[in-house]
Formats: sequence, C-alpha cells, structure tokens
Amino acid sequence: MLTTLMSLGRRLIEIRRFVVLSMFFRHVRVLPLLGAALSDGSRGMRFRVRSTVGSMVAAVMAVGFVSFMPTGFAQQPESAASGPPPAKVALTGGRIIPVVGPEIATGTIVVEHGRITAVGPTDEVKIPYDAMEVDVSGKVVMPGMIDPQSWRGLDVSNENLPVAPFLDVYDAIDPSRLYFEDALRDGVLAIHVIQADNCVIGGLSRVVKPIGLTPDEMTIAAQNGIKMSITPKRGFDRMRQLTTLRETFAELDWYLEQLAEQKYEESLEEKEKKIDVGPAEARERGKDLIKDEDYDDKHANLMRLRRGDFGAWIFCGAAMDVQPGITLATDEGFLDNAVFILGAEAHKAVTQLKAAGRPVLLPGNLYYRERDQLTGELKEVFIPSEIHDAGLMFALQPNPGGSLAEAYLNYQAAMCVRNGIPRQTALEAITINPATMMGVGDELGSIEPGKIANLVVMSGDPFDFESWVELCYIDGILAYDRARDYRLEKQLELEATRAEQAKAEEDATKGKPDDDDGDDSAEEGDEATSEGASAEGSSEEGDGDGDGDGSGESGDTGGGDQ
Amino acid sequence: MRDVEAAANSFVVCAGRVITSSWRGEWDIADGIIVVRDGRIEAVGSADDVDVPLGLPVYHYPDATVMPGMVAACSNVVGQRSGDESIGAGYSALDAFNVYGDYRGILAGGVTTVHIDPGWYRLVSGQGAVVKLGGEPGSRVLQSPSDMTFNLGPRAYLPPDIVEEVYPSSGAEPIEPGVPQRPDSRIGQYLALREALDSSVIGTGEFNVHLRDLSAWWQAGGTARVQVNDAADIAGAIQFFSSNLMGSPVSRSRSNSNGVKPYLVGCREIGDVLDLVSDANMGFVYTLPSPLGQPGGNLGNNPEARDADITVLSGLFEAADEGRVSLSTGSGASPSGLRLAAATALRAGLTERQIVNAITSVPARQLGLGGRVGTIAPGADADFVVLSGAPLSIETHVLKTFVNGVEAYSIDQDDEWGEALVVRAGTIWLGPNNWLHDGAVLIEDGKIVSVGQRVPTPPNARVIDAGPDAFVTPGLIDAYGHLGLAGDQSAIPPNLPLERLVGYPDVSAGRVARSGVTTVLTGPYRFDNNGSRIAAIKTWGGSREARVVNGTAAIAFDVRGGNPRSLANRIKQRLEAGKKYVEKWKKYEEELKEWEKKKAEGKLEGDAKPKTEEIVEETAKEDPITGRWSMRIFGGPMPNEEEGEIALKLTGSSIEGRVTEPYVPIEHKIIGTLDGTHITGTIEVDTGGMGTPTWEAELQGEDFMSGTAGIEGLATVNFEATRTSKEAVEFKVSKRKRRTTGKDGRPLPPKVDESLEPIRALLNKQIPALVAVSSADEIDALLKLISEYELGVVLLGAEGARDRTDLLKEKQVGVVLPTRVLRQDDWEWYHQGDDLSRRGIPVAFQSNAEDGARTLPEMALYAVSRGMSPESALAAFSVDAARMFKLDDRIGSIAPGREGDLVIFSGYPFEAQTVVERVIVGGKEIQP
Amino acid sequence: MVPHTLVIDTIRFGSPDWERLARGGVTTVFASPDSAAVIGPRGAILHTAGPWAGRIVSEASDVKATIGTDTYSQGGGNNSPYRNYVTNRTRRPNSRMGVAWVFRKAMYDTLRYREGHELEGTDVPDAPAMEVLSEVFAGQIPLRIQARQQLDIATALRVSEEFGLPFTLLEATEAYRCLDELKAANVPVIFGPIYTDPSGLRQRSSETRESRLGTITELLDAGIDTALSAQDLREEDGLIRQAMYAVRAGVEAETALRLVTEVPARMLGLGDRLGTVETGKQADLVVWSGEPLEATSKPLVVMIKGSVVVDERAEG
Repeated sequence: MLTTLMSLGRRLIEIRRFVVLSMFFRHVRVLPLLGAALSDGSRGMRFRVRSTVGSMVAAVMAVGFVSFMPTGFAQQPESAASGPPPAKVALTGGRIIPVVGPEIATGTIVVEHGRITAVGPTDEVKIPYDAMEVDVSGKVVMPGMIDPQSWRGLDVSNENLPVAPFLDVYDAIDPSRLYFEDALRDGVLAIHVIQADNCVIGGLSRVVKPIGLTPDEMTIAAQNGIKMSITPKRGFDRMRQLTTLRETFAELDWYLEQLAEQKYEESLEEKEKKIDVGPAEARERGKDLIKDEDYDDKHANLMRLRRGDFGAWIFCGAAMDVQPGITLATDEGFLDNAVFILGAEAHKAVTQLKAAGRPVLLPGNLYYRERDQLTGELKEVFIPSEIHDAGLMFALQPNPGGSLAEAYLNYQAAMCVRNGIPRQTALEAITINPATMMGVGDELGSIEPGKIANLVVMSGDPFDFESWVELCYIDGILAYDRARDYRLEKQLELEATRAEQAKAEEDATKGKPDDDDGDDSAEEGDEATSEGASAEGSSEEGDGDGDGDGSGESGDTGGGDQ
Repeated sequence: MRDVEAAANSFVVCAGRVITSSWRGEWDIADGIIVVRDGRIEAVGSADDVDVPLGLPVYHYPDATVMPGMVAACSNVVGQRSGDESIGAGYSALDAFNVYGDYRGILAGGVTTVHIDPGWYRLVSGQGAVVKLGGEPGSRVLQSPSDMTFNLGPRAYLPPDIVEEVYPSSGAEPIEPGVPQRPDSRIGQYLALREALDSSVIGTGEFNVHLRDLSAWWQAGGTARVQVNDAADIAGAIQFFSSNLMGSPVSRSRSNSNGVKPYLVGCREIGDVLDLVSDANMGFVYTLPSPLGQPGGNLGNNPEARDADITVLSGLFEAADEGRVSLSTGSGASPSGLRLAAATALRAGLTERQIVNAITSVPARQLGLGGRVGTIAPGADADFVVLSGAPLSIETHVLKTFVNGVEAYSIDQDDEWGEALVVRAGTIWLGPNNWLHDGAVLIEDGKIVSVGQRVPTPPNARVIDAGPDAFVTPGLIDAYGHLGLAGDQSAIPPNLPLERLVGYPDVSAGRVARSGVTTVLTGPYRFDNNGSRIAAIKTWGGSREARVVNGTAAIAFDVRGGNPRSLANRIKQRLEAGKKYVEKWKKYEEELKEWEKKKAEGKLEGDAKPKTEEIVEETAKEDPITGRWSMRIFGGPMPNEEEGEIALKLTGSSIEGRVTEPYVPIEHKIIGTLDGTHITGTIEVDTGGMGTPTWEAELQGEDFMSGTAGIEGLATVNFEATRTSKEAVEFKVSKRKRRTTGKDGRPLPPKVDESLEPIRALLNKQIPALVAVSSADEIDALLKLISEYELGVVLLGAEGARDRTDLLKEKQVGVVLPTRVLRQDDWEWYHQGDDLSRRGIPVAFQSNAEDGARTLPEMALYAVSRGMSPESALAAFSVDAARMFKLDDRIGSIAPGREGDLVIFSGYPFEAQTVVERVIVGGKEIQP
Repeated sequence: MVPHTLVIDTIRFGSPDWERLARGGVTTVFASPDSAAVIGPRGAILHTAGPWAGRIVSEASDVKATIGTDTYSQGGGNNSPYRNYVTNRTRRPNSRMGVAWVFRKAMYDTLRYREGHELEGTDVPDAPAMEVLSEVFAGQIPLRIQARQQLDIATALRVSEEFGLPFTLLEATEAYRCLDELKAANVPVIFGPIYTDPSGLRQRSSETRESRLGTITELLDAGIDTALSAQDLREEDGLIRQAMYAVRAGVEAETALRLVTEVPARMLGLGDRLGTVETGKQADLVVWSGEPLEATSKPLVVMIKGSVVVDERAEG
C-alpha cells in the first residue's frame, strides 16, 4: 500500500512537471499535429487516451513530451485567441434529444465552426458539401451534460479565509486532473468549477469544458459566480457565520461611503477648492465620482455581485439556512442572480424557496431520511419530487460518494423519472437548467441552432443504465471516443477484447491491411498490455485520488487524503 | 347544530381546572371552558359563564388542569456563539435557531415559548430573541432582537485576543498579531462597557459591525438582558443599568436614547443584596438550580462556593413586586424541566399562584410579550398545556401541549408505558375492615399495580382525583344474573360455553356497568338437567378477552321442586360420568409426566412408535339403541319438519351409526356415548370450519328418543326418533384402533368432552357447583352428596338456609341470596342477608335479571336498612361473592394484581344522597 | 470459530431494512453473518415481508467462512498479548497466515473429532461447533467462503482441496484474476457487489481496490456458475441495481435477471420453490413499472407467497 502510494505520488509530480513542460513546448510541437487532428476528428484521441496515469511512463518513453497531453488534445490550443475551429461536422441518422422541443427519431445535426447550425429530421436538413459526415444511426444524441458545481478540478477545495471574494478558481484549475477525463467519459461536457462550501464568501467560479491544456483553453465562461455559504464554515457557528456575512456587506457600504467622501475631496482638490459641505453631503456627491478601478480588490467583486455581473451560489445545508440566505440576497440586491444549493435537509424550506422563486441545486444524495426523535420511525423523502411539486427549476449533481450509478448524472435523472418526475424535467435538470443557472443558457444545454456544439452520442437512451457514452463532441470536435478509451477497456477488459476481436475480424473481412486505425489499435493494445503488467493497480489508486479531492469540505490535497 | 366547517385550530376545551395566569380576570377556574378560534383564545371562563359556540369540536379533559404554555426566560435551545469578540453586539441568537427543529422534548415539559440568547461568555454576547417551539416554521419567531445580552462576572473575563484577517497580507502588511480585549476584572467590565458605548456613538474610524449594532440598540432604547450571578456583579449591574450611570457623559450627551430597559438574569446570590432590589426598577429572572433528575456538580475546595439557595426567593418576592420576578431553568439546562424545578420554590414558602405566574405570565411580560403568551386570556395565542393534575405536583404529567391552537405534543405519541390510570380518593375500601384514607390506586394495563397512600404516577397516566369525600370500592359483583342472554329463556346445556354470548358491550351492559356492577355471574334462566355453565363476565371491556373473567365459573344445577333424593341422584349420575372422564385425564397426565421424566432422563425407548390399543367390541345382548330409527327433525331454524333415518349400533357405552340426510341419500357418520338414558355425541360432517355438529338425546321409554342436534352457538334443531328395527346394522367399519401415543411415544390426551369439562373442573375443585335450592331438605340432600365428593358448592336462593346454618357454616358454603330477600319465620320478618351474615355465612346478591342488575346497589342499601352490617353488605358485593366462585384472586378486592375494577361513590355508600359517580372496569372509565 | 451459532438469533424483524428490501423487489434473503469470524455463524434464509412466523425459510443455513483481512482488521483489530496486557482484542489471527491456520486447525480438529479422538489442549473448539463442522464435512451443511483478493481466493481453493470440502465462493472481487482456477475447481460463485469505487464497509477494507466492472461478464463467459448479490449494500446499490450494473458491463438482460432470481434460488437449495415464475412454485412476484432492469423502473407491487406486501401503485 505504502509503496503504491509513493509511486503514485511520484507519478503525480511527474504529471505536473510534464504539463508545465508541454505547455512550454506546445507552440513548437503541437501545431504540426493539428492537421492530423482536423483530418480525422477522432485521430487526436490516441494521445489523450495515452495520458492516463497508468500509461504515462510508456507514453513518455515512446512519444516524448508532446504526446503526453493531459486531456483533450483534439481541442485547438489557441481557441480563445485564434478564432473558431475550422471544421464542419454532420451527425446523421441518430435519435436526437434536443431537450428543447420534441425528440427527433432520425435526425441530423450540422455543426459549423463549433456551433450548431441546423437540427432536424434527416430528410429535412441539408448537409454542407464540405462537412465531415458521421453516421450515428442507432445511437442517441443529446446535449452535453453539465455538472453544476464541482471543486474536483481544484487542488484544494477552499482557501482558509472566511471572506475571500477576491479569489478565483482560475488560479487553481488543474487541467491534468483525472476528474476531467472521467467527466468526459460520463458525457459531462461543461463543469462549473467553484469553491466548496467551507467558507463564508468564496471566490469566483468558472465554467469549463473537460478538455484543454490550460484553464484558458478550458474556459467556457469566466468569473461566472461566487460561492456563499449560510451553513457555518468549520469552526464557525451560525451566529458567527451570519454575522460575518452581514458584516461583510455592511462594511462594503461603509467603505463606499468613505470612498465617496474621499473621491469628492479629491475632486475638490483638483479644482483647488476647499471642502464646502458636511461629510454626509460629501458622500452623496462623491457617489457618482467613483469609477470601477477605484474599488480595491477586497470590495470590487462584491460590488460586481450587487451589480449583477455574476450570480451568487448560496449554500444552504439545512432548512434553517434558507430564509437567512433569501433575506441576505434580497437585502443586498442579488436575489435575481442567486442560485440556492441545497443540503440534505434544506428542502423542508420549500415554501420559502418557492416564494423566492430562484432555481435550486439539489444535493447529490436525492433521498432524505429522517428518524422521528420520539417514535424512531424512519421517514424517507425524495427531494426532487418536493422541489418539482413546488414548481421550482432545479439541477442535479452527481453523487460520487453514493452508489456506483449515482456518480452518473444521467442516472440521477433516471432516478427522478423512477420517482415520478416527468422525463422532460429530469432531462432539463442535467442540461439546460444548470446552463441557465450559470448564465450560459443561450450557449449550452440544448441542441438548437446557434448553440455551442457540445454533443454526447450515447449507445442508447440516456436513462438506460446500459447505455454508454460513445462519442463526445466539444465545440464540434470529437473529444471522446469510447472505442479508444483504454482506461475504460481496462475496467471492462473482456468486453474491450471482444470488441477488438470483432473489429479485427471485421477488418480481416474487409481486407484493408494498411488501415491506419487497425495499426494504431494493435499498437495501443500492446501498450495497454504492457502497462497492465508494469503498473498493476496504480491507475485505480490514481482514480481514487482524483475523487478524494471532491470529498466535500475536506479541503485536503489529493495525496493527503490517503 | 350549525353546519360550520371548523378550522383545525378552532375548538373548545372543557377542563376540570383552568389556570389562566391572568392579571385581570379570574386566575383559577373550576370546570373551565376555553374557546379557541384560528389559533387564538376567543373566550375563557367557567362553564356557567362561557357559551360553547356551535360547530366547533369540543375536547373534554374533565380530570385535567389546563395552564398556559410555560415561558422559559432562559434556555439552551441555541448554543454558545463561537466568535471571540468581547463586544459581540452584532451576533444574533436567532441565526442559530432552527425554525424547522423538532422541539417535542421541551414541549413535553409544557414549555412553549423560550428566550434564546447568544451565550453567557463575553461581556456583550449579542442579541437575544423570543421564539416558540412549535407551530408553523414561519410563525415561530416572536421577537428578534428582543434584547442585548450582557454578561457580568467571571464568564466575561479574559477574552482571547482578536485576530483581524487582513487583506492583502504581504511582507509589507503582515497578518497583525491579535488585539487584546477587555475585561480582565470586575471593574474592567464597566470600563469596557463605557468604552464600547462611547465608541459606538462617536465612531472609531474603522468599521465594526458590533459597535454599529450596539449603537443602534442604545439609541433605540432597547432592552438589556444582564446575566449575573455573583452578589457584587448584581449590585454593580443594578447600579450601572438602572441609574443614569449608564454610558459615559460623552455617550449620554450625544445620544438621544430614551434609556435602556434592563432586566437581570441568573441572580444566584441576590439574597445578599435584597435591599437594592426593592428600589431597582427592573425585572429579575431567577435561574433555578439544576432541574430534577440531574446530579449537581462538585463544588470543590472553594469555601466560597455554594449551591443556589432557593429560600432567597421568599425575600426576593417580598422585595420586588410579584410581577417583577420570574423563574427559569439555567441557560445551560433544557427548559423541559422548568415546571418541576419551579415547583421546588414551594420550599421557599411561595404560593402556587406566585410560582405559576413566575413561569408563565411574568416572564412573558419581561420579554415584552405580555398578553400574547404566558396567559390564557381572550386575544392571547392558544398556547396551553394539559396537565394530569395540580401544576406543581411532582406526580403531575404533561398530557398535551398546544401551540397556536395546534397540538404540538401529546403523550400518546409514546406508547411505551401502555395505559395507566391513577384514582385518588378520600376513602378506599380495600376489603372488609380495611379502609385506606386519602389513598390512591394505580391501574396499568387493566390490572391494579399499586395501592397506597401514595402510588407511582407514570407520565402518561390519566389521573382521577375523586376528592376527599369520595369512597372507592371494588367493582360490584352480581352473583347470578343473565346479562347477555337477551331474553333466551331456554335451559342451556353444559357443553355450551356462555362466554360465546359476550362481545362488545351493548346498551344493557352499559346500563349495568354504570350502576357500579362490574362483574356478573351470567347463567341461563333455567338450568339443564345435566347442569349449565355459569360464566363470570365483566360488564364493560373492549373485547371478549377483556370481558371474560372465567367462562366456566361454576356449573349450575337445580334441585328444587321434586323429590330431593332423586334430584340429587341426577347430579350424582353426572358426577359419576365426570369421574370416569377425570380418571381418563388423570391417567393421561400421569403417563405424560412419566414420559416427560423418561425423556428428560433420555430413557425413551429406542423407536418410540405410536402405540395403539385395541378396543374390545362388546355387543350388548339386548340394548336400547342398536337398530334403525326413523327420525323427525323440527324446530330451530328449520322452516318445515323433515324426516330422515338413523342406523345405530351400541358397543359398550359408545354408539356408532349413520344418519341419512332427508331427501338426499348422503350418509354421515355419527358417534356418541350412552350414559344412562342420555346420549351425547357428534356428527361427522364437514361444515367448513363452523364447528362440529353435536347431538344429544334422551331415551324416553323403549324405542323412543328425543333431543337436539346442531352446531354450538350457531343453530340447534330438535329431533325425535322411533326405533323401527332392532337388528344390528353392519357398517363398513374399519377395525377400530385408537392411537394412544404420539409420534415419539408421547401420550395423547383423551378426547375433550365439552359437556363433561365443567364437571371435571368441579371435581378438580377449580369451580364450585351453583345449586338452586329452596327447602332445608333439599339442602340436606345436596350437602350429603357434596360431602361425598368433597366439592365446593354455592347455594342459590336457599330460602330454607336459616334452618341449616350450622351445617352451612361447617361446610363453608356460601349463599346467593334470593331476590325476595325478606322471609317470615314464626311471624317474624327477617332479612336473609342480615340473618346469614350475622351467623357467619358468606352471602352474595343476585339480580336474576339482565340489565335489571343495575339496581343491585340499591339492594345493599335495603339490606343495611334492614340491619345488615355495612361491611358485610360491601363484602357480599365484592370479596365474598368473588371467593364463592373462586375468583377472589382476580376480582372483588383492591390489591395489587387484581383487575382494575373500581366504583367511585360520591360519599359513604350507605347514605341516601350518595350516588355512583364513576365506574372503572379493567382500568378504563365507563363514559357516562 | 463459531459455526454453531446462528444468525437468526440476532435478526431484528422490526428493522426498517426489511421493508426497504421488500420495496426494492427483494423477496428472499440469505441473512449472512459478517466477515469478522474465520468460520462464522450459520446464516438464515428469510422472506423480507409478510407475517413474521412465515418469514423464516431456513433458520440454519450455510456456514459462512471468511478468508481475508476482515477477520482481523474489522473493529479494533487483533493483537498479540503484550506482557500482562490482555484484552478481548488479544487473539488470533492477525495475519493472512493466521487466518489460514485457524481455518486449517478447525478442519483438522473436525477430522479428529469425526474419528472419535479426544481433542486436547487449551485451544479446543466447542463440541457443538465440531458437530456442525462434521456435518459440513458430510456435505449436509453447505459452506460458503468469502474471499475477495486473488490470493485469498487461491487460499480458499487450496484449503478446500486439501480437505475435500465443496464450497461456494462469496464476493470474489478479484475473480477476474483466477478464472481458470475457479473453473477448474468447479466452484460456484456468489459475486458482488459490483462497484468501481468501494463504499461503506468496503471503503475501509484494503481488499477492494482492484474491483472491476467487467468481472461479472468474465465469470459468466468463463462458464462459472455465478449468482449476483448486493451483499450488505442497500438503496441505490440494491440487488436489482446490481443486475443493472451487470447489464452495463455487457451481460444480457435476461441473464442478468437470472443472476438475481433463478441462480441464487438454486444455490440456496430452493430452486424447486423460488426463482422462476412457473406453475407450482411459490408466488413471490414483483410487478415493475417498466422493464425491471431499467434505471427508471421501480417495483409497484411485491408479492410474497401470494400475498401483496408492497403496493406502490399511485392512487387514482
């Protein structure tokens, strides 16, 4: 155990070093490879797949630094700077679940330059002549699922400061986290990376896609929201928590007054006049003189929150936290941008939530169980039903600490359907609802012309647990292909072998000995075997480590968890 | 009644006693009525003054006391705040109050409203609030902030240094070391307070939320809650907060405060500074020592340390006006024990009224909620507690707690203890010459558990306090009645258990029960020649099981009006038959004992195969049965007379045969036993679980029999049969082998013969024979027979008993007095009960009626008026009657283990004005 | 070494777990002892609902043995005696070798006992335990052995071969590493639960890190007689979900269903009464709101012995 831990630790250090190195080298070595990536959308996958911890050493030995890109190599590195991806793709023949509007039994989606340009039944949609056609018949296409809050992309879930609105997860997102790779495998194509709940006011969050070498590349929307917790941070009680929250905003008001007075004085000094009014009047007059750059870091983000530049994600761990949260948001004027994150028991305040009318994010464990203190009777509540009955918009999040299936967003939604929630609502709760909550509802969360082409191709209905994520398109580019997912193959060793056999047979019958793919797969198969022998078990240790970060308020580093 | 749909929180409560805690109006109302509408009290008053509105549900708590929901001016409902600031005025206790919380643990103590404070550490711990512990989450907060909490004394001393988080911290601006805080000493607290007030008014140049909130409170002239315990701090607090010393000249001059309103909480050593109290214009909350049931802490070596002395309360209540002192549990203790802790203030000589007010209306007023909570008065919230007894009695329990007119706690929610009832009365008659004055009886699960001057009072017990005049006796016993027969005049055969007649009590049972008669020895009007069963049945109870004391309490014969000797012989015949039957059982029991012994020793024979015994078949040469009989069936449920045929064969005394159904040639096997001229047996028909049909016939003369057939308790038909042929009839009878042992050699019990079962019980001396006799001759004949068999006997009627008193006394024979109880002897009228009891013969009363038994208690009055001793009369109704029927271990007296059957008379039972007030059967009161 | 004790003595019929199992569509349960004893108590077979008297199918069923670290790591862990410091934790075994030794010693003791030898020494097992183990040897009481890791499975196979003891393998987390051996020994397997990240009890055990989703598929493909079990897991990881996971791992839906119905019934020796819907069998039925293995389905009606014990059909 200890030795595996040590070797794991060593590997983690290596990964980080290589990430830095590869970032350094990417301008030199990556661009030539882009051609290959573009000519075949799936081509880049081999590199991404090799980046798994287990295959790391072998991959580095074989290919060098460049091939060791942590995630999503197919993504054009400079997407933010160098314009839209130059590709047109058409997914044809699949069943399309657009989330908005009715399902299309056999449809086509056209993606141009990373955006969806047309959706409709196959016979109605015209495919551009230069588009790469991908036949997904027999499969189901749905928008990329969205994880509405996660701190698993961060090294530590929280800074040890109660009020820290000046922080930004931007500085802490670790693109090499295996979590991002897992997200891709599970069809989660947008992740709201935000601080955990162990804070009073946390830093700014960011919506990212699970591919990219740097936080910049991964970013979909920056400075997206701010975390706020009504439930006491560790070492705090509720009185202190709420007093600290109130104090923060009261201090902001006080600061503004001081600043206004100061600005007025400065303006007079410029005009070489003397102070002519009392402090109250000076504050009033100075108000309009304040410019954005005048705010100091400590207050700037709070001002922007009040102004509605981004949303507040307010964690209410218990029912009694809900009303104070609503009151605070109302008093400080950001209720219209607030999302309430509910803890296990918070649904009891559904009346208050309904009155506030804001969307809510449900806890990972969707069942709430409570024992009557006098009779010992156990009561079970299915939380989404309570929220849905109140007519509130809600989003689901995965529950990695729960059962195997609860770690999947689509299963969480299926569970809702099982408990009587309409299928459409359940679908929305993992796609368009979280997108709306994050303020990117017009970009993500559904399959509509104009939206970013984040698409998941599943082998069957998303609510069937036997369905697998087959392909993922992010910005219209293939980001994941199950056939090349070697880590998954290891999990399902036999099935993968079978698939390979089948493929080999198929290839044999087709008689295409020169087929690139065939070579690749053979080669990679070898590698997979060798790594299986050399790094037995360590990959899963790594997996556990990646998940360990997400253990709520632990705030430990991955290694420290063990 | 108007058809109004009442809201759930609109209802009427009728209670034996209502304590209003009101300043105006009546304080203590007997038989009070509270009208609750929409969660508020609309009217309160005695039953004579308040009209019960129509259309509202009415809850009756005739034995309960209703008092206002208690108000705890101190509680541990929210914990301590964790912030370090010595001046933490910005903290609000409400933040930590869970409005969704389940506070039934405290509601169970009757406390509905509590003050929550942000803790007792630090000089200014923050803002308190007043909340309710039940009701809708949205309506639970009554007042916030209600006051600013100050703590004077050692708990305020030595606060930790304050570390401000500095942003951004860098080399230039490192995280600053902690700033020290005041106070460190007693004098330092006042300095720190003045400093804080000054800077809150003047400002410090830096933002501080606590100073801001302190300033707001000060300017608004809020309430100051000062938590103090030491005498020196109490004195300091009174001076600091009550005089114009409050604040420094600076803050006073710059503030427009109307002056804060202080009240002191804690006050443990207030006895030392009572002279300051009378002048101080402030309220006091005295926190009581740790509530009952919690061990006290160690005091250690400190000679100064002492326990709170509750006797200072007398001085405190004297020094301050009554309305200024309230009582509370300590802030570290759960307020659930408030009522009991307050009750100990009785030791200080306080009155019930003072104490009850001090935990209800006074704290409500101190907390600024007077008139809304803590009182039962029109306009107030419908928060009240239903108590099982007097509010300050240790044995009293909270039955229900209402908050805003909704039941927030009910003791029934916890059924751990089952049902319990405590009856208290001035006099309890336990048995002859055994009176208990000022005593109580505890009944649990229908049985008397405890009797004495004091009995335990389980929390869920219903308490009936019948008052000092009341007289409690065991439930009265009707020694011979017909309750439940519903007019059936027939002679019921001995195989029919009378308990089948019993079900849920009907109207007539209720009538009898309410008269005080709790047990009736029910028997048929006429007795069968072979005897009839007598069942001891209670007049009330929820099920057959609860009502049947003994389904076969006696077997009854009638030997009146014939040749006494021949009648006695008839009984003898039955006894002989019974003896054989008993023998069989005895044999079986011995075999079983042997077998079990062997088994225990492991000496069972290797392969213990079932044993059988061949039954020798003897055919009588000339027998009265064998042959074919033509049969006529009539009566009972049969619409028409029908005919059929039986073929019978007699072997020894057992009869076997076939009966052919009328119309259809279906044969059923029929078996029976011949006993003299009497035949009993069964017909083997599959009735689908309804029971085995039996038949019974009497040979009357040659070749003729008549009798009945049917299923017990379902239907009975009569039949007559005439023998048409004496030929032996052959059946396809398999060889008769009877298994005598079971699979592993265990002996099998003999077949149960229901008609002989009572006889068996009689012979085993488990039950007596109840024999209706009248003349002395009959008594003679009977007693001769009885002594032959050494049986227990009870005489029914026994008009001639006077002539045989010595004999009866010698044989310890009880007499159930005849209904016509006056007899004339030598032209002298005498009362038989008086006569026999005087001569030492136990007697009992009978009603010989169904619900006519309701007048039975009057018979006792008459007996006493005729000279019978009251003790004997009571005994005749209870213990003597029970003893006659060997039921004295179950009923007839008041002692642990007996059935919980009690009669509560309004006074001494043999006074003309005395009535039966309440009757309790099996621990349940019969509702009038 | 406590095979003479019975799990049935500890069963709490009032536990809400029964209702939860029933609501999850489970009608019959092998109530197994935990894995704290090397040779543990005998499990019981029970129905999950219905009148209490009728619930017990078998009071004393298989003996459960455990080979692995649980026997000494659960709770406080076993220690060797230290000077005079002896507690209830001071006992064997405290290593894998010790576990195997305790197992072997029990077997030797039983053999001697069966031959009529007097057992001597300070560490002599109780006679009732010997009686039970004798019956295990005689094949009258089935034996099940819990082993998770490859080496423990190997130990179980080795020991059983030494003593000629047939057994059923339990849990078998790493069965994918010794398929051939299992096949050769012809050992039936009660596999499960399926997981990738262990939770609950298993999270604390070091034995479960190597779990794989595809193991069930491999077991079936290898032709090993396999049933599926959720073991102690409840709720979302319950029995039907295990079958659902199996389908995700590539097992045919029909086969997966068999793994939680017909096969376990047969393994418990109740194949003639339970496990299939056939004329003459006990009417333990579940009505599902959809396909049983779909994530969106739940049991609507559960019937045990023909009487409805769960009815979740929506009113109206």
